[in-house]
Amino acid sequence: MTPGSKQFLHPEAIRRISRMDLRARHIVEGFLAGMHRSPYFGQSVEFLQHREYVSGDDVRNIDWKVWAKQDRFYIKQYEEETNMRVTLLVDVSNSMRYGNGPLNKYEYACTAAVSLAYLALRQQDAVRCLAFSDRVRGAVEFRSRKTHLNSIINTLATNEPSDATDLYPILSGVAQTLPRRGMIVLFSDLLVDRPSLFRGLKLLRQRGHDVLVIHVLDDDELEFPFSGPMRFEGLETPEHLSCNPRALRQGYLEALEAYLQEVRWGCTSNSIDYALVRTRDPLDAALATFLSNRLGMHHRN
Amino acid sequence: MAEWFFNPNLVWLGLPLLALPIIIHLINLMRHRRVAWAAMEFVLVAHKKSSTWILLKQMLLLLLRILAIAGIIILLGQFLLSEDLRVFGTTTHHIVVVDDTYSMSDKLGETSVFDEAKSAVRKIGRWATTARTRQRFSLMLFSTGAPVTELNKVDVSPDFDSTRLRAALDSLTVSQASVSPLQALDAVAQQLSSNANERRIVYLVSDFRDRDWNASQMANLNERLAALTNDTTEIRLVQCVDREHANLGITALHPVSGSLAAGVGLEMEVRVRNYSNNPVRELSVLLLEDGRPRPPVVFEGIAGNSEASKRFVVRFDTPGQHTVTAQIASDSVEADNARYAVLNVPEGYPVLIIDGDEGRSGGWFLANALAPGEVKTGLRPQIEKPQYLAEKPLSGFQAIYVTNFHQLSPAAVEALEEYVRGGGGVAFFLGPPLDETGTFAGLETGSLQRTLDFVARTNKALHRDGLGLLPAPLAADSRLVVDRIETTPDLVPEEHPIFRVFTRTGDAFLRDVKILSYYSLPQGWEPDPQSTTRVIARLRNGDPLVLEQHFGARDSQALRSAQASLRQAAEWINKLIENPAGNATTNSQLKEDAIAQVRDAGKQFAAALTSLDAATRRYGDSKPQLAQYYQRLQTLEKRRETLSQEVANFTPGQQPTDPQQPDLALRLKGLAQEVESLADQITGTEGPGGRVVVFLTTAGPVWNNWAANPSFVIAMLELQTYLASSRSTEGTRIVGAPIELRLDPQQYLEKYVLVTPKATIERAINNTGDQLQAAITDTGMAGLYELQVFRRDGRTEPPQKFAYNVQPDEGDLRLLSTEDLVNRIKADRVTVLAAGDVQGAASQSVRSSLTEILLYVLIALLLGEQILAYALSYHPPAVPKVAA
Repeated sequence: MTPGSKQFLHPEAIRRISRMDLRARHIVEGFLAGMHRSPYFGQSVEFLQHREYVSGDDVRNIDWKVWAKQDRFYIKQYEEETNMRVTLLVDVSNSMRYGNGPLNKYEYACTAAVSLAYLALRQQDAVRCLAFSDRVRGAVEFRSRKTHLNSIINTLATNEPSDATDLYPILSGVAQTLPRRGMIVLFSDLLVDRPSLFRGLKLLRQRGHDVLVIHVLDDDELEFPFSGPMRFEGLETPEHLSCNPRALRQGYLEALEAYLQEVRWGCTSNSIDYALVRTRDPLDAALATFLSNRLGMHHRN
Repeated sequence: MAEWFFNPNLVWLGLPLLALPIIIHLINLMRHRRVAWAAMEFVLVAHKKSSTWILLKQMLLLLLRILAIAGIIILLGQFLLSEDLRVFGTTTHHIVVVDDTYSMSDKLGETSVFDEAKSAVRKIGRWATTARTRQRFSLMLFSTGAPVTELNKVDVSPDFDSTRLRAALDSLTVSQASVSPLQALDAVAQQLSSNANERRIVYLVSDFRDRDWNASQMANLNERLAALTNDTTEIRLVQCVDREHANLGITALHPVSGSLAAGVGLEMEVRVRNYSNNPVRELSVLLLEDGRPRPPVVFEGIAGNSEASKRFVVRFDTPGQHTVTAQIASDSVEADNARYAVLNVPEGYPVLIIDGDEGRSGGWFLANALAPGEVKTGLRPQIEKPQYLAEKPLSGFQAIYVTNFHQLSPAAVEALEEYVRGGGGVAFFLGPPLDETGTFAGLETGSLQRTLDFVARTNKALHRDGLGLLPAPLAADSRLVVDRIETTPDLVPEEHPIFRVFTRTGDAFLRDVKILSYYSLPQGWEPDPQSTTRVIARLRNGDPLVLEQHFGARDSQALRSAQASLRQAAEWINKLIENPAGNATTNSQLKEDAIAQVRDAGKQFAAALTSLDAATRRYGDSKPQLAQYYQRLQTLEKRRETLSQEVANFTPGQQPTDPQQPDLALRLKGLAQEVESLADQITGTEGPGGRVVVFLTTAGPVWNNWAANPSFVIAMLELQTYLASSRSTEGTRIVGAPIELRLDPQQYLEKYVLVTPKATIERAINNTGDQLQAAITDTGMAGLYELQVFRRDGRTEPPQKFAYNVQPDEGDLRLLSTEDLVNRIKADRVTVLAAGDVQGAASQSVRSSLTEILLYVLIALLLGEQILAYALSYHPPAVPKVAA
């Protein structure tokens, strides 16, 4: 990735693009354009054709048999097929509403999810998307057509963050409804009951799914940078607290760190890929996590 | 509250600010920002974990902020509490000593320095009323040296300053006295009781002029200040004046010479001193004779810090008491702008001539010389027998001449001595002894034994081993051998007022004076240079012929000699200090001389102590001050002994052992000054003393032919002037000196009326049974006084006039800067304040240290607040810049 391309993936830049599809395209194209070469192209797909070697092609792709016959370098090209089933789970609970940066957690999660969908569809993977809180609030089934992106966008756009989160029923539902193994990407702030979360994730893993958790948190939630008297009112709980946040910060950060440690450990112990992203981070982080996960999926399985 | 703070108003204003942190805290709580927050669980966990500790820290922060504001308020309000805290439970006694000497009348626009002083006293009083512990207040005056009756150790009530103090201060006026701070400090020392449970603050409210606080006096002043101060007593010097003004003062108005009599002109002198640095031109001195103006005396110019004198002649045609007043134009100080003199102008002065000789051989010549026929001298000689001395009062005589006697009775000698002590003059003419019947025998007919007897009697009665009227003991009668070749006259006068006229006209008249016989003095006798005895004429063979001495107040005379010795010693020590590397021999000689001078001063001290002791016994209770003077002189003698040792151990160039102490020369000068002051006081009490002139030959032409020579008349008239001049100051008194009144209860009523320059006072006279006695002390103001006593027989006596004048030097207004004063004061616990700062300075020294402590506490509070606030606040880490 070129250093200059990074700025186009920054939330501030992304925010200016209002249409989600354009946003996804911008992100993915920008992301791919920043690569010096495309190591991911044509992996795990059917052979399509031979093409004469040009400088810059990976020598690993050279078909040595053809060279032996014709004394020319040809590389093998593969036709990408719908052999990957990607399920995007986007948390649309009320806690995702919070955000103090250019994008709130939900917007960030949606943008990341759509970008992944775009990338996946571009590689002709089948993508499914579920928006959930304590229940499934919107769903589009697997499709690999590129137009499927609009359906996904519509599903996410029609949902506003509300209600509490209850992940276990959602995850167990997904596990039951997915007959084939596939990749499941969860976008959430994970402000839920941890045992039920881990139980759900474990269930998915037991079914052979490749699970990727994109943990979206706002910078404020990670740094607690408040000063002055404040009244914190729970987004998903009825609790509230008036306090001087300066005095609470240390305790908050300690509690947060313990929580993150718990989540990280929970994911790692279940062989689940975990990425903590901040809403101010450039969006390529989610994509990079996804791609590395997709590459390593077969090795793990 | 007001008594705890110098600026209570500021405290009142600042007090509401204490609530500021609480109010801000409450407002912040009310104005909290609402945040819809997802991660409530962590907030709640943090809150649960540290809510108590947070509350504690917040409260601590709040407290620190309140304390910091309180500290600032206390600092600005200038906390005064500590003074009470230090001595909580004890009484604070404010002893305020106000200088009411006449230099305090120095004008400051509409007010005067004395008004400033009163204002300062009021401030002290006001401050005392606001203090929380028990306060006592005493007000003393320099002039009286005693507390004001209504304000003597009074307990301070809340309305003290507006009632008692105000009333007392309103009635105070500046006196015309001149009292040194040394005397004031002595008076304070006498008033201080040894109350251990009392904290005392002595305020010296004065003008601190250079004349009183100069370097030569500081040794004594520092000594007194140090003696007064201790753990419970501190002294505050309150300076009431910050600018010096020019002042002119009449320092003297007195007759110069000649006998005063009706119709006889008398030369008088007026002296004016310019106390400023700038010269004065065309100064007119207005003169009044008996209240009537006469042509003024004009001084063409008086240089800065110098004195000038002018003479003028007054003549009064009628006998009686006449007054002369000299006045100059009004200036900063009024009291010294006028000077008064009362001249007792007789029809003629009665002059007593004692002549025991029936033939009046000496008296007749003396009488004719003093009243030579047609020429008016104003003298009325009265020839009496020796018994007259013991029987009749002598005070009315201008002078007494004693000639030709067999023996003077002890009563007669005592009367004569008392007469001289009171300022009278006596001349003795000693000739051949008379026999018991008073028959003049003459040398030719008398036996040697008779002469020796006479010499022994006379020495015993009149010389009394140096304590009597005769300045030298007689040895024997002698003849002056006739020497026709010798051209020197028989009578060789020394430089003296009596013979000055002959010095001017040459010795033509005296050349013909022949001395045949005289009384010689013991072989080798010469007058003691330290004494007042002088030889004023000698014979051609060198033997003394005429002697004189100043008799009476021998103690003060001795002290004046001691003072001169000490000054001389100080001079020599000063030379050694200034030039330590000088010639070793000279230095050694200077030191020897200084030691001798201090030793001589010791002898004079001893003489003064003996004389003062005798005077104390002689006067008894009638002059109780003499006993105090005796004690003071003993103290001075101890100091002299110490200084004497220091002089003996003095090495030129040696570093002083105590650098804070003035050098030895200054301390010697200081002692000399105190000695002079004591001598003045003794003179004031005992009287000035008078002159005794002794001719060791006859008045008549028995042992000499002088009476037949015209120079005799001139010499006798000059002698008369000289003898009488010590009485010419009669009627010139310093303000405050009492008028001693002694009357015969058989002849006088027990009351008197005194007309002072301001009022007429009638008072009763104390009757002791055999005498009416009064010491009239209503003489605090310069001017002319008239004292009227009343005879029982109804006859009216003319009132007796007195002229009271101020001590001239008090008008010297040269000021000592506060800085100089502070530098000169070496005693601890002495603070110098300006009158305007008195109230605040009531605990200035305390406050300064308290302020410092408060300042440190405040800084600590603010630092603590900052640290705590930092610990309780969030500080985002610096965001690293994204590389472009």
